[in-house]
Amino acid sequence: MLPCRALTIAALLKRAWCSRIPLVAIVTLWPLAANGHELDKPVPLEEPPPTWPSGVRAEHDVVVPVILTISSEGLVTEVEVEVSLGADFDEAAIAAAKRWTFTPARNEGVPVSAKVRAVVRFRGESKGPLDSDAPVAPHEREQGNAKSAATTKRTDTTSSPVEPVTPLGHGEDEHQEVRVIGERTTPPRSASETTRGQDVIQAAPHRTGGDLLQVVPGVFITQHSGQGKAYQVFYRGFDAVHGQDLEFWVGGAPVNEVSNIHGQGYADLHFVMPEVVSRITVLPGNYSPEQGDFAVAGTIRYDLGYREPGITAKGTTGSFGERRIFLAYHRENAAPGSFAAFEAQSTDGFGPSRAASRTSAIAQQVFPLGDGQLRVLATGYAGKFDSPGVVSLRDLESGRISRFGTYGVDQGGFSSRYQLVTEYRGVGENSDWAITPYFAQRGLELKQNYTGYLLDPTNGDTTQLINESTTLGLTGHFRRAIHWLSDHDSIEAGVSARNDWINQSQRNIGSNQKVLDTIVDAKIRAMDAAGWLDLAVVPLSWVKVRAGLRVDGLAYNVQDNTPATESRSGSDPNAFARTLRPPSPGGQARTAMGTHFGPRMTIDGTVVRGTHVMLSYGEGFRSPQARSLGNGEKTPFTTVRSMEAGLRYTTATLNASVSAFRTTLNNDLVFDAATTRNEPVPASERVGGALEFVIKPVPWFVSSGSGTYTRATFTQSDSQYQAGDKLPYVPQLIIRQDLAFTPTIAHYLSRPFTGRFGASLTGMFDRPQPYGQQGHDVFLVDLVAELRLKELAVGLDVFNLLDAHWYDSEFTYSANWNPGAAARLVPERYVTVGAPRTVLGTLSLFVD
Amino acid sequence: MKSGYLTKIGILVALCAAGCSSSSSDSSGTTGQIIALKTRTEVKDDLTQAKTNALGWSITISEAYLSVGPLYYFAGDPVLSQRHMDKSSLQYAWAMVSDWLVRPAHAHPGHYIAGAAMGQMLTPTTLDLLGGSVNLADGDGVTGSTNSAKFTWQSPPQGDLAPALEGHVVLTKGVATKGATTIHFIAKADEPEVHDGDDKAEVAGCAFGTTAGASGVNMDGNGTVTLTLSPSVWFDEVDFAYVAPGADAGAPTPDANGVVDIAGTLAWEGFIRGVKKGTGYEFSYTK
Repeated sequence: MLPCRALTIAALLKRAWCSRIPLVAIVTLWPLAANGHELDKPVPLEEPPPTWPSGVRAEHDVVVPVILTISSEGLVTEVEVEVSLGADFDEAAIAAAKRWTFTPARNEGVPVSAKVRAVVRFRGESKGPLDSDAPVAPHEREQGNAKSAATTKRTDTTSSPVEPVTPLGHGEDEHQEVRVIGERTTPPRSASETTRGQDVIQAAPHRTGGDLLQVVPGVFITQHSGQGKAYQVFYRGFDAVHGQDLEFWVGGAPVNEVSNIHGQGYADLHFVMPEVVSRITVLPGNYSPEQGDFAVAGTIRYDLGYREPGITAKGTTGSFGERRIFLAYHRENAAPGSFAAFEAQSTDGFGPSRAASRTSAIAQQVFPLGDGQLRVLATGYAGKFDSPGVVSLRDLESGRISRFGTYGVDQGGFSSRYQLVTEYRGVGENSDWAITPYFAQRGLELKQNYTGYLLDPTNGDTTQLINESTTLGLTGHFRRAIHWLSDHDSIEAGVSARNDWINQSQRNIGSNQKVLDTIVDAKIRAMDAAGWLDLAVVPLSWVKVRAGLRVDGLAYNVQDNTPATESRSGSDPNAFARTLRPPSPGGQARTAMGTHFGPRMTIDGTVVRGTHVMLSYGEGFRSPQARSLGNGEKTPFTTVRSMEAGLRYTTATLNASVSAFRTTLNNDLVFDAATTRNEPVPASERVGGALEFVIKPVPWFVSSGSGTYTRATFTQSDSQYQAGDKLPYVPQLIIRQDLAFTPTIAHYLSRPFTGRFGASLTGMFDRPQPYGQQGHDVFLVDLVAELRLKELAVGLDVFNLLDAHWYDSEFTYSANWNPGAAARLVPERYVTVGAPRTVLGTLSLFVD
Repeated sequence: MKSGYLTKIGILVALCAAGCSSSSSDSSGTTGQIIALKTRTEVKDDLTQAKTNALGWSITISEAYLSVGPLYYFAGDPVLSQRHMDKSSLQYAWAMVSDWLVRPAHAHPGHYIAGAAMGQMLTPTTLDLLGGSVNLADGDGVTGSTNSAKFTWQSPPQGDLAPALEGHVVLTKGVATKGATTIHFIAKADEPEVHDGDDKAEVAGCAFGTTAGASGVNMDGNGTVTLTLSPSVWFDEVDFAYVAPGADAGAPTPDANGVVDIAGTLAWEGFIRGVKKGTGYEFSYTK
């Protein structure tokens, strides 16, 4: 082992800056290794050499700089190519690096996970046969610009093939430098916590940042009101609606909207292009103190990055008038996190009232600054969409309405998001910290009609929803090493605060867009301030315990400007309608406040190398809709208790977990047929099991799969629901499989000719409906095929290859879509029809 | 292959997790069921037999046609109800005591809360009330406690017998006798004339129970809803003295057949009040 001195960040930054190498980030070992004590770097044990890509000829050595994530067991769990030299070399380098094994980095003798920079060297053709295919020591990497680092002249004095690959060191001796990499590599809080990298994300075709959620184990998404409205997400037995029960973060900023008029936690991910999502991290349950409001079923985080060097220009066209332009720029030498991207998309839709368009821009830059790094992210997005609304299943099956027919009611919406996120990460001698202030402005306008002419037989029941919100907030943490039960212990303190200013209204409008009635007109100020402590200790060498406590304080001020109910007399045609329009006092100001304490704990036991048994427990909450609160009311929280037991297996080629979980809620929400909105229902629980894996045995193949079974039932009864009965609408079995082949087919004009062939299978089974009804199962197959000759690529995306006739969403409630006929008051089945086979072709141009 | 092994483990864990659920229920579905409800009508009174109303008129009906619109059944309590309870039950005893201690407040029309819709029959038709029981179109509903119903008139009338109504929603003919006075009458109502307080041609808050007039039944499966009609209720407040010969100057003149159309008279107003009474339309469910 090679001991190294404490990290001198300033020196490191200075070197990086002077050498014009983008410092991706600043140290981060977990627990922090550079704590003033001797730090032992990972030392290679086995290092199978890389295989020279077939058909590629070069006289010079080729060096591929990579970033390795080395677990505390010494396994390479992740390989990132820092500077791409083409798909051939990248894949070969990744394949080689993933086979390497190390002694783990050690902090005062305790193994820790670490990220290190290394290089993989391919010997040029003029090299003697004895020296071929050998990886090189990272100290050979030149510290100049990336091109010189990437392609170096072969010399006979380079290291032997058996010379160990070592992380770059730090300090005075460049050859001993530990080049620290960036982001926090916190260990998982549960067995089923997982990440999906770009190789999996890009395996199957995706059209929006939102539909990337399909790769998340246990998630099934639907989009029932047009291409532009936030997806409805089902996850582990939860109908998370548009974000009510799933906490979403993109680029370090929260996406869920507090008390959105259309639904609590509304999370619209359309502002993210699928190409710029570098990683999706999934935290099921609420086992980490970092998880706050909306983390009822879990948390999903998007990291942003774009690796294709130079300029990317894509043009897409295809079925149903789909048109899309995607432009991106990523400076060749820059970190993947630094990029700019733009998209403009429009479609006529696969049937009437399904046109949509959107435009979006994202720019992110990472700067070295002081003792750390500064990341700045800015996004702008606007989208407009039409919605066909729901149709009666009876009408569809009887042929009274065609497969893609509508009832002809004007529906749709407009959505926009502008945000600025800054993040500063720093390190000290035995600590690290971060602070992330963010600002977001959101706009949402929806016109929707779920009940036809049920309430107002003359004008119809179309409502117009408007929600404008401005969010200002921050997150931050400070973590330092401590020596309590072992030298491997640490403690973290964190804070999170956000303030939302919301203007919202809901109005009935007639067919001529005239406002008929005001149902909601409110200004809301919502505040959520949270703090947490998180302790990590190692009582035994094979046992890690992490325990934390998070405290959330939520406060709401509502100025309810809704006209008093009496002033709306005449608009309620009957008693049934009155149940949909609760009385309003009119003009009332209300305040409410409450506090929630949420303990979190994880026990992580290492069974054998790479295999962990994990037990997790956490308590979270579901926050209320602000305008539902009474004056002076102690903010009612739904208490969420999650527990999970599982096995986690990690090697260089296979990451997998199998787990059993249970989540209980002391009260719940279910879509109600009578009021056509989510209403309180008795306590419930979700019990299930999940299996997920990512396997990448060779560089040109990756497979990601998952199966999640959940049984969601009531545990208490009321006048409407019985204990033991299933929660309606929540699918019980969700499966997902992504496959991708990315071979180098040949070389032509001294350029690699590569392919990308991928497929995804999505299955959703056993979707119970109210009143003992059973929804339809869904099984979809998507395909992607792309051929690329370095600067030029031609691709084909096929969605719903089998042209399955499927229903995107299914509901059971009362509606009347024939104003001249007797109103149906008894609930019946309504659906939104899923998209048919859709074929898109893409021409891509890459300019270095 | 390792992934295959893990798959097997995953299935086992999932099954175990499902089996270890704290839920003790054997239920395999969501709460409630959608059920099929046949619908039939019965007439409570033997219209061919004379019946004496509250004002002493003995009335015999010779023709009675009724336009029937959609019928709806609700969870909410009826406007006026008598819950069906076993008189030997503890529940009944408690109800008696509690009613004595705290007098129950009965809602009046306009404050009727229908609650959740539990069933419906949506196909309009026209009934000949002297024709005996009639099966109406099939309806549907959901399982659960059902306590009240809504009767509606269809206008214009529909069904094979609609012409007999001549555009009205109710039409009756008969003979009313009191002492030496005998009046051959025709009583009819148009759709606007039967509107309720919400300006709808309907009678809301009718009793729905196990038998006609009772309230409260748990619809727990496919069954039959019977609408029991009581035309005698329509005439309960009709004072034919207002249309008797020589009653006053405004009294209608009999036609050539000696039949008096009572429309627009105080007698007719009593008839309209009767037609709009909820007790004239009672619903019951049998499995």
